[in-house]
Amino acid sequence: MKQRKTGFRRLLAASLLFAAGTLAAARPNELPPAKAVLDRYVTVTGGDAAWHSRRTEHEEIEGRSLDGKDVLLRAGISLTRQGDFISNVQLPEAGSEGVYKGVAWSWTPLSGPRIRKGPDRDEALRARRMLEEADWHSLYPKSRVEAIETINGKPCYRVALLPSPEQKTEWFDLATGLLEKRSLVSSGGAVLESYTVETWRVQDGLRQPATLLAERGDLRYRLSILRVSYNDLHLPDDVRYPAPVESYLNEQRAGVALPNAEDLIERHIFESGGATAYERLKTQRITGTLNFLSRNMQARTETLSSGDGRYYQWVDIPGLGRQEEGSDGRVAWERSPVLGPRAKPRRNLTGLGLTMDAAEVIGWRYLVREVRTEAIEKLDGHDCYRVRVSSRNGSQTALRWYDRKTGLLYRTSVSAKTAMGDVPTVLTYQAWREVEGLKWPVQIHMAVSGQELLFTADDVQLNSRLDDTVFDLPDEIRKLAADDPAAQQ
Amino acid sequence: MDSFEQVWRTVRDRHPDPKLNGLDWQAIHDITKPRIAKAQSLDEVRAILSEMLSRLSASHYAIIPGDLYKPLSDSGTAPDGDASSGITPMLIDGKAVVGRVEPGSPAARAGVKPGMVLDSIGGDSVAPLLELSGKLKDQESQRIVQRSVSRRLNGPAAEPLQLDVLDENGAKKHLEVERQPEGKLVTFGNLPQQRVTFEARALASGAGYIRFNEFLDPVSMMPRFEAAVKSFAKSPGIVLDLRGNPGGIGIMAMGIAGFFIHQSGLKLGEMKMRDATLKFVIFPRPETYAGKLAILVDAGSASTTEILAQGLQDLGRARIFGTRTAGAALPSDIVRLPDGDGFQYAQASYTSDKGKVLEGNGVTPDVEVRQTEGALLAGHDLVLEAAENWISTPAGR
Repeated sequence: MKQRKTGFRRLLAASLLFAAGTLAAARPNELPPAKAVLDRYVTVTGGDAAWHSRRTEHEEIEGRSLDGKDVLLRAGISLTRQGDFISNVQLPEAGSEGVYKGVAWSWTPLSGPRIRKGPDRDEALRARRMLEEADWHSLYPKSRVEAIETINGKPCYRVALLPSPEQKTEWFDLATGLLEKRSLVSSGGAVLESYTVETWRVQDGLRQPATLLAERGDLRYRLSILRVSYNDLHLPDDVRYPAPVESYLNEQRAGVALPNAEDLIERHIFESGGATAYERLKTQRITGTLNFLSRNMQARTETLSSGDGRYYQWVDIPGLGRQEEGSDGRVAWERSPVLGPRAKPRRNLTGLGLTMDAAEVIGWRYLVREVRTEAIEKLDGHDCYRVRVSSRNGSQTALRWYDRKTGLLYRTSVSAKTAMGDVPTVLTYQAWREVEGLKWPVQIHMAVSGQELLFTADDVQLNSRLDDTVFDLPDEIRKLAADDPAAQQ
Repeated sequence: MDSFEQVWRTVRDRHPDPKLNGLDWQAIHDITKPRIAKAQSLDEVRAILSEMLSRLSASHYAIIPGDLYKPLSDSGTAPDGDASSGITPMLIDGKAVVGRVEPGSPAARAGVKPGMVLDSIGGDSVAPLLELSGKLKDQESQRIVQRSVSRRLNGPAAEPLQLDVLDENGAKKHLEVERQPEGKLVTFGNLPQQRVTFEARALASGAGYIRFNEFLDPVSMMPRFEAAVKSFAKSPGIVLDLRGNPGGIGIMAMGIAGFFIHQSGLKLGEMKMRDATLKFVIFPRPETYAGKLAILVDAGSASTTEILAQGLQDLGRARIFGTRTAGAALPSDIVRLPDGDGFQYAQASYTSDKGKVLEGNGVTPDVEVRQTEGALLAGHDLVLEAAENWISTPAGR
């Protein structure tokens, strides 16, 4: 079983709980020291000399669905004895990461280069998988055997590899000394990923896993090491970081590098309450006033959202009457005195920051193709990072400005798609209020194709009980939708 | 000099095309500034500014001499108030003529008849306004003068209108006409309060007839419009009388078009601003009218009226009757300059579905019908009659 967890952590979305079963109670007085278990593993897989005879290693790996039909993962990994490595991933998302001369780096099309620091860097350095088995003494000197448990019907020692920020646990067959299973457990006790060895291969005197059953939350797939070669890398080129990373590193050294956009977006999520608080966000009921600043008009408005795709919004504009729009989850619609009723394409999350739907805020990676930090700019006295966001299909881009001091989103500029065309929209978040553990924008200045509006929320109710009938289709919309099957989605 | 700078800056910042059609606007500024500094009179300044604006090769960029504002102003001799006498004026052959008298209105009761020539209003001669009409050649200016006459006919309800008219024999008659509030008083944004009137009736020919004076108050007007269209469902055609209608809320053109277009995905036209292009999309109503549609227009028809008429003409859905419209289909604005002159400029360009530029051009009717004093005096509305004849002709358009 080889280490490639650091790479996998970024490969797939699933990170849900996968509880490892405790199959037998530990009897501490009968447990051997970790040294005995781990050294035995090195021995039965080829011995210390064999492990250390390799200067470099390259392997091609592939993950397939259990029925073998779908390729879920494809990557190439190159490593050196000195601890450099590079992992080039083709599927499911292109990207690369590695360590070169002690610099832990990553690069993704999503957000470009990033230099890993702190515990993240330490973990990357420890992840030099090639020497891990043979060099556990230096990498995990505080490891200990915690229990004897049964895995796949085999009694195994459960060994905690320590220290590591995310706890690595390995199970070794009492009978053969071989690795049976490896898991990565979060600090909260959740199993992030685990690999159970299915088959082995022997090459150049070393025994290594050939296929493994991988589990990441609900996702189970078969991981195969398709090809392994030793001592055939051209150094240092084959493990050197790519040019964009090198440029970024030089900018960092010169003190002119901008933070990675991914980090800025995640900081906003953290500062505005954190992903967990957003995950708890279900219903929204926001009431407020929309002030048309240049037109001497004020409109009352209310937005209700169920968190499951149903929403209803009304705006009472003096002189124009009530503008309504909504969706019951299947049919989206709008209605106004001027234009009458109509069914319309359902509102989709764009990833461009036009809604406060939790799925859009914390699920932003699934909605966008690329994020890049472009500049530092001063807006209304706020020092901000400007981030360019490209939608998943590449048809739209948005600019976001994140306040350097607070980390919160300060402004969004996007061309909003409407039935009448693309409308330049600039939202400036001027005030926030703490509600249900989230900082919620309660004053938003809007510049919509030259018109200026100010939305002020006077009541923000999150996760309150909503009357479900508010999302029901009005009768005339139901009739329209019935006459037009295309309106039903 | 301040006026020059304001004009130059406004064009730079608000012209729909940020590149100003490739003009080196800064260079034009630098060439013009010394000439302005040397100008000896306001007339000379106006001439230089007009020459500068002519470089834009676009309509509705104009310097309006300050003295022309005096007769157009609501202040001074013009009465205040919104009560109506029931008279709709028209400009025919350089005269202000009574174009329409609302049935049952104070004017009708006082004996005012279509075709009479307005000689003085509230004791003030109409002649100065008509002289302006002669000076201002374009359709938009004609509209401004016509509206100025309309405003003078309105006033406080407590103050009867003193009117001198020339009858069918050219004899001068003095009439005292009561005024009464007509229509619903509507407020919308920064617009002055307006009285909105709506009329729907069946014509003797069997066609339906709908008329409203402004594209405002959709909350009450659109349901009435819908009810009227439904009531004419079996009529061979509908006449939409938009003569004198200066426009209003632009998207109401989309809303009204939706009653006559059943096919989704069509549009009336496009409005291009500096940072966006907005399509005037037609959203078909659940029930649409399939019969003939005639739209009546004149020089007083502007803005939203033109967008609707031209769009439906482009789509082949309506036949337009009357005279060319004002050619003021854009969100243009007029600002006062420090020297007292006015400066009119467009904030966007508008093209119809078939790419016709309405600004400065107006809508050209399919059937041009000019109203005459004689016909009015004889009780004929030639434009309406032409539309009715077309509707009643089985062969179609």
